Amino acid sequence: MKKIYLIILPLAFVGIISLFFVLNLNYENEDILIVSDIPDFKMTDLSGNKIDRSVFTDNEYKLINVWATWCINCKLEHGFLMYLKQENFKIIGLNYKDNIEKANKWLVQFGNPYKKNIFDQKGELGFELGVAGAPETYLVNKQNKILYKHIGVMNEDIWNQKFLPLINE
Amino acid sequence: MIPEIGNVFLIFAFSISVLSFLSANYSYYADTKIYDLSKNIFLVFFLLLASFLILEFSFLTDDFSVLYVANNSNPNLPAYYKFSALWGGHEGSLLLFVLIISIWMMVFSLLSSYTKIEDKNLVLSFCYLVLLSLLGFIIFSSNPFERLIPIASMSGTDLNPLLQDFAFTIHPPILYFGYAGLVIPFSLALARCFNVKEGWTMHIRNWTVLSWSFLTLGIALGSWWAYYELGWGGWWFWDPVENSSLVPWLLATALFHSAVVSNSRKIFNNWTILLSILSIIGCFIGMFLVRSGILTSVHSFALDPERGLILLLITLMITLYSFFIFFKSDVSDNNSINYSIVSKEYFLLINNLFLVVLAVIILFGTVYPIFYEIFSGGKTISVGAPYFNLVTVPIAFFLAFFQGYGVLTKWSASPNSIRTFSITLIVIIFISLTFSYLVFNYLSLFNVIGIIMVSSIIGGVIISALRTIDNKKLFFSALGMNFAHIGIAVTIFGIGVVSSHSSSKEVILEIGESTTLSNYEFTLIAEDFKEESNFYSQIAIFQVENQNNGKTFDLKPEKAFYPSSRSIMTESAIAITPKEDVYISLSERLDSGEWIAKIQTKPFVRFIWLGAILMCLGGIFSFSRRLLFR
Repeated sequence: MKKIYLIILPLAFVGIISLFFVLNLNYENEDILIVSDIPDFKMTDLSGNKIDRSVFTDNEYKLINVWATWCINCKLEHGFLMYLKQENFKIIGLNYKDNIEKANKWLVQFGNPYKKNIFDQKGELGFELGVAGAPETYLVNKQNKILYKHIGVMNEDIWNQKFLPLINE
Repeated sequence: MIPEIGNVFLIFAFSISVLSFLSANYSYYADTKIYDLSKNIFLVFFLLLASFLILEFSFLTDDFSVLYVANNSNPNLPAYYKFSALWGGHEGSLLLFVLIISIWMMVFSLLSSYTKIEDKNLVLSFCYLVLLSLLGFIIFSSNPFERLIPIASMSGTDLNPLLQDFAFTIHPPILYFGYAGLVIPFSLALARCFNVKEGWTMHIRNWTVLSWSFLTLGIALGSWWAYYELGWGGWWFWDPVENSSLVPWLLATALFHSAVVSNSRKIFNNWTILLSILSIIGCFIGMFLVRSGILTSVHSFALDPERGLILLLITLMITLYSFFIFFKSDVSDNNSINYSIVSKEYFLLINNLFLVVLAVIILFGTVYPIFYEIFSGGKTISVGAPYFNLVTVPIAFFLAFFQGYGVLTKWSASPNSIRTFSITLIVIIFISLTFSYLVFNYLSLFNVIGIIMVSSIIGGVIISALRTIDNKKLFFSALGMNFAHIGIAVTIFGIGVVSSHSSSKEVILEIGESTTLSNYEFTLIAEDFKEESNFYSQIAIFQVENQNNGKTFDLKPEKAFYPSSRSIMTESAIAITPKEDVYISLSERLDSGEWIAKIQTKPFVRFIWLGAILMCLGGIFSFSRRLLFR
């Protein structure tokens, strides 16, 4: 092989992936403080019962947690969600592009931190909410408006720094 | 006060590296003589060691006014883990990494002699370049000595419980020894572009083999850690971080094979230089992937896009710089060398080609989710085991297959050997098919593939060892290589058997109840509770009976709770028998008092890591033999 190819090919490869890295770094960097309504939806929960927007209608703060059994990082944040459940914080699960049997098994196996679980097999509700992947966690206020969206693993630091100040406001 | 001294030491080390790099360049371009730059490296090493020890001191004395300590340690943590918590986060692990680079530079300058001081200076200057870029990054953007002022934290967060484990305490340092060692062949290759020819291929081969040995061991330790600590019973997850350690490993493997050809035959020279550069770039890309937070993984470091950007700039700078030097250089091969299709040159070329392709497709699979996210406007996917298994297994098959015959070939062999090659090929396939049929009573593609891989490697090693048994010198010179090749066969054997003959089952048991899996009977006999300084855990005690020989043993898997980080950990229990591992991990205790557990048997899983240890020993043996008897 001519030497020039030994230089151009690797350089092009590194250059292209670096370009994507830069684009992606900026992409995730945007501030995700949003106020929007929860869209209207009609779906089923993990036991097959009908579920719609009324599940959010009560007078308290709650979280929507997007999770799936194929998501490794959902395992990492699971312990913290269980802690929030102990603190009597209401979490609605959005089971995202998943398999219903595996999801139920997961909840039996690892514990169920969710008050209700919306089964969103095709990602339809997820699309309307703007879900990019799992895990994601949304803060919903008393008037059913989404206040904040966190992409990635949920933990105590994020809870204290991002969620609690909004709740205490 | 003390942490500030550590910071000053870091800045000193940075300044000396900058000075050394500049003066080596000055000396080259102005053609003036300067002093031996390898003297500086001792100073740099001791400065870095001192600041490392100062940070350790802050950890051991619970100095939570240091931000990094507050983020990664806790007063209740046992002293042993306080010590290793230093490399539990981004800043500290980077400090450890530069310390290890300086160790490599020191050892290299002690063990290698050059007739011209300028040549050695030039080689070291490129090491200094890598060192100074990382030191600059630490000082200006990831400083581990940053203070939490004015209010110091009282207790500190905690070291991630996943990392409070023996394997973790040694896995990163050993892996870093592997990565950092690749700085040496990188510098040698760039120095070759400036016409530093003295022993360059020999040095590249030897130093790459040594750092490759550490890399092998480090990756194997990581895999072993994941196996028993994550509680899923898997040993490789194609996690982005695992992949980004595998890519430099594959490139380094290709590199020292290519350096062997360059050393003996004076060909493939440009290719060897290219691989030296690519190995270090592979390390940097891996470092970027892990530390920028661009991909989420179990190895989550501090997620800071700004740091990612700086790291990417460093990577690009080193890439462009080294390719520019490579472009300007004039390195030619020995044109009088001819080699046939069954010569050693040709087989090593195949080896290199496959290894590089393997590295590229693994890297591609790892970064593909990033491409996808941008093109799809924010949707994410994860590329998992199905893709990687599909694309890597066939390539690995051909690699192993050609490896077996490759060790038997001779330099520039004549076309006659094509006949021998074909006969060997037919014999290997025939033996494998028969063996597979006899052992498993059926022909499954997977078994046959595994057996062909293993038998061709081992067959090749045995025949080549028998050929040289009369010639002690030849025999010992190939011993390290043969060891490493057998290691690969052992690992492949372990992977093959575990992938096709494991069994697993999820059960719900109350005390006194039992279940069977494979030829074991599992009975849940009792539960227990234990409390340690930084966690407490529930324990379920299983009695396991081997129904073949009536022997029984107890297994005690745990579910641990860490109050300071509020995380729950599954501590699996593993019984090791000569043939297989019996593996129990707990998931949850139901309110009714029943336990949900996953039980698994993993035949020959230890062979995977045993093979890696053999590879590592082979590499170290080969390095030290060449060092002692050159």
